[in-house]
Amino acid sequence: MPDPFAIDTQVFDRLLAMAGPNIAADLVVQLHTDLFNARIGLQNAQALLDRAQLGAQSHVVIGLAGTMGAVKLQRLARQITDLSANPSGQIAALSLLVLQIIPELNKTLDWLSRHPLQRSIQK
Amino acid sequence: MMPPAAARPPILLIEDTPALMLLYRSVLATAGLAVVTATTAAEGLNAFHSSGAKLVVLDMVLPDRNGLDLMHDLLRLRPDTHVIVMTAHGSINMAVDAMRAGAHEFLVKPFDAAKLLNAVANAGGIAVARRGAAKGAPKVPQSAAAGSAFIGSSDAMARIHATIASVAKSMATVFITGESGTGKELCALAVHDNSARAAGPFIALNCGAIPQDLLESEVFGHVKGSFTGAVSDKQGAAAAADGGTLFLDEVCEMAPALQTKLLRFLQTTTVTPVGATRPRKVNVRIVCATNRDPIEAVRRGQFREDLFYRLFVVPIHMPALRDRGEDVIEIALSALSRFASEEAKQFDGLDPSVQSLFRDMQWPGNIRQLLNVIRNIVVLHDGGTVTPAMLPETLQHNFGPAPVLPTAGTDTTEGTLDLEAVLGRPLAEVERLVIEATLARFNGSVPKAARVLELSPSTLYRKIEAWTKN
Repeated sequence: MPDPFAIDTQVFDRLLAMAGPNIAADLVVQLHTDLFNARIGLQNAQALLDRAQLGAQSHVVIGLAGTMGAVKLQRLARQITDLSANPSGQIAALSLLVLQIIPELNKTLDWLSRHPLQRSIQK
Repeated sequence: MMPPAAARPPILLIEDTPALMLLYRSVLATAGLAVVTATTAAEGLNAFHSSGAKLVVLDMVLPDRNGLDLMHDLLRLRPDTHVIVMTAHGSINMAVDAMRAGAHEFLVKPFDAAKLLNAVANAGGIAVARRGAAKGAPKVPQSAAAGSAFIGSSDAMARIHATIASVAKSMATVFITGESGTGKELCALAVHDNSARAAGPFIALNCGAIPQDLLESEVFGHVKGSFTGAVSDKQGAAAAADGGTLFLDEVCEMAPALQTKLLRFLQTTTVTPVGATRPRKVNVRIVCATNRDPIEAVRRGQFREDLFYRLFVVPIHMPALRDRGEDVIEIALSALSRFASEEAKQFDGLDPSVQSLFRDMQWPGNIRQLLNVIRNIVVLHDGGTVTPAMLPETLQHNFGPAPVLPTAGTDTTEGTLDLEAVLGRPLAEVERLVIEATLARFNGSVPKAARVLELSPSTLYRKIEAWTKN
């Protein structure tokens, strides 16, 4: 089971309500896809020691995580964004943050893939 | 007069993250706004040419280009375009850079639908629709939230309606006070809509939300080249409101230097944009608002006294929800019906115990808080009568039997406290005695005691719980 505190479900439910019944399921699927791509982007950027890409991918994660109530994920992504924008920021510290954010991304992806709306589309 | 929504150019939305694009588009479309989208800067530039968009919602980080650079190009092509910048990088410096470069508004992610819609409204996208209401009988604002703020048959609201009806026709400056969430902007809009200026613009400016060094430019405008980044002439809010109403929200947050300029503007009815040499005459009615005590702000030297007296011509105080008696139930039922309809659900009203709690609650967030509670109930439940169990967790602790209070050694059962009896005692003990006496006076009602003590009920519960444990 994913960490039950990884997602603020009230925020997530409000998000789905705001999106409306017609696109809520699409939104759940798209959130999963975008976070999945961001995870690959972060891993590639880390492998290439590409600060700009780390910043760009973490920027995507902040927007998505904050919007869906993934508080811890958002915090880690913000740390990566801040550090990648700082030229004197240690690349080792960035790598450590990426190592921390990947499991959190995995938890969030797992949670999204188990969401009832995701399942309703997969049927 | 603006063209109808269908004839207006669409809003151009440039965002490279598909999930966020989906969400923004849905929110804007639900608000009745036409939207075209692009996921890269290059696509965005093409869509800007082909759509004729006058309002752009722009992500700062795009895969092929920096959002600020793209904004420069857009404003060079059509200087009257409003650009709302969105970013996950929320630094003040970046906000100032964006605003100086000509952004209309700077929104920090994560996404907030209300903030986006407000920004779009301020840029002319929605306010236009609100202003379209016909003249005639006295009107209250037409938006959903406005309807809620003005629902209610309490004496307090009857007085507000009467005041609005009588002051709207004059040119007098209106100063609206009231706690956050009481509907001050909607009151301002009602004054405008009932005035002879209803066909003119209603320009709202939140003085507390704009960086102080940009506020002058926002209010009075600037001319091209007047400072670094002023790439085109910009009409300020005062000039944009010519022939209509300028609403200055959170006016007590205005920097002292700008207060002087606002005073001069009120005295001369002319505006001089930053960098301009000649003033321009404008015909504007000022309505302002604050959630602070303006007299206290004057006393503390935070607000100019002469400006205060110039603005404080017709005061309107929006009452707190807790002071509006049965209005809380009327508003709750109205919101329940509206939200249920929006969510295609069937709710049958409020259980008497819920009504009782609603009447007793402090509602520090006022109508905004009540609407959030009702929205939460409707979204998370299937329907039926609203019972205590359906309330958000934060409200549920208000239910249940009053806890048995431990005694601190002084009889407070009659709700009276002798000063001599508490003198010389530790402060924590005095606090407990005062709280116990207050509870006794209100027959153990925590919400009522909390209100008198100016505490939140949850704080009071925490204190009582701690005493019980000890």
